[in-house]
Amino acid sequence: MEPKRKEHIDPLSFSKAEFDKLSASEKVDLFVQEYRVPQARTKADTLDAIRRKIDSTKNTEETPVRSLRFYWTAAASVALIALLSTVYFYFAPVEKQIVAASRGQHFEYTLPDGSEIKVNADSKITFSASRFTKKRELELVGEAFFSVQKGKPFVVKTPVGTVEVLGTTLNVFARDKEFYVSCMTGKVKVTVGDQRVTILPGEKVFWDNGTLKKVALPQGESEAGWVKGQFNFDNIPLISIFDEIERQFNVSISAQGIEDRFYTGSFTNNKLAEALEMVCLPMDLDYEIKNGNKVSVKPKTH
Amino acid sequence: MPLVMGVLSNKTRMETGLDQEGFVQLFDAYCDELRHYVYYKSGDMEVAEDIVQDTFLKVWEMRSSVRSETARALLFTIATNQFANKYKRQKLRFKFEQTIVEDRTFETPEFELEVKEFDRKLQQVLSGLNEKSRVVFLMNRIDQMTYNEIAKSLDISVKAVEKRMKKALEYLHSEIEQKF
Repeated sequence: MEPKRKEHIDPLSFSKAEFDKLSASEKVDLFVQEYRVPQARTKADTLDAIRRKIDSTKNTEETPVRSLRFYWTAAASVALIALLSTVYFYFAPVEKQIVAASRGQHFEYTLPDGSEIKVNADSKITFSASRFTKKRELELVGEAFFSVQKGKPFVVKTPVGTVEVLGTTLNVFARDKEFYVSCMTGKVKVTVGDQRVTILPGEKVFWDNGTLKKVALPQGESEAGWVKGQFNFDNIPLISIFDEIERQFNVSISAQGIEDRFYTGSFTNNKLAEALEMVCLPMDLDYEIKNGNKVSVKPKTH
Repeated sequence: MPLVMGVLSNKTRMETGLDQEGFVQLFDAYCDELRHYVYYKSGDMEVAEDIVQDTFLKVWEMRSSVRSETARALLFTIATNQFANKYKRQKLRFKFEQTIVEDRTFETPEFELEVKEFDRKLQQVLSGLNEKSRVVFLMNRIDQMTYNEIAKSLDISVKAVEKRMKKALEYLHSEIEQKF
């Protein structure tokens, strides 16, 4: 029989009275469940270390075809670019550091200067580890939430525009031609071409067909709600909502009857069925999940 | 918990052999679980890190003969061997990180002391558990793995997992009754 978790006591705030009532075994369970294994380095760093060990292993036993090393020739680099869309971590030349989250995944990372980033599903950050201490610059494709340490200017480059901060928290969304930046604290400077806008806490700037526009955020927190697993949308095209669901749960959705429809509401990324409920129900849509990772959405037939 | 990973491309995979993409997926899925496993055996996070790296290095070197169905158990087998061969039995002392004592306030300083003492003793008792039972117990309680998942990783039967869990609970019960 599998042991069941007893949820009736809060590990982080139990009183002496509650603690004394527990049996010895219950006390053990209470503690052990909260234990975390100490970590020497992040997964990304471990993978890096493995890669370096692979590169430095010299095979004197000759089985030439099989002793392929992680050695990047020009030809390999070209092939790699084709592979890029399918591989979410890749072994790049030592200079560049890549932090990526695949579909269905969020990833947290601490940069060399102590700034922290939370990377949303299907997003990638690239920067030069050795140069970062001198110049805090990185590239983002996708979405990430930044907690930037005070210090030298911190620059985020995206396909559409560039974001610059000194020390602050902000959310940057850069997928295809959609680009918006929300400021939680501090001051954020956004540049696209020769347009430049500075935003303050509670403000958001977005790229709308050639113009940088500034708006006030409906509620200051909601832009980076994804970090806590809560996704909020204010009059967003349904297509974009289903895109986000696809990324969060790593599924593919084919939807009919959703063109030109807009959605205001939210979903959480706990369970796929729940998220689909939250979106489909108010929009009078039916959904069906097949094989665990394919979803079809159709208008409700009455 | 291992990451959930979807199919990243529509390429058909070979039955035997691991390509680079497969290797990275394997790493992503089991790196943490493996590291925890070695920590539960050694109580040393540097040892755990070293063995994880050397294990994946070995898997890369033999990648052409790795089969996807047995890759998971293979990782644990290699790690177990590496641990047995390279590391002399050093005194095991766990230093689990926990928030139960750190991130909260206590009603009285005496209660805080009581809770901290309990934690210290508990980690000590856990260090004294027989290795096979210890590993299974911690994988179940800390990593929240089901008996089934533990059986898959360690390549043993579910019954064997149950037996080890039973031993762990019995040992903990008797130690705690005595010492606490």
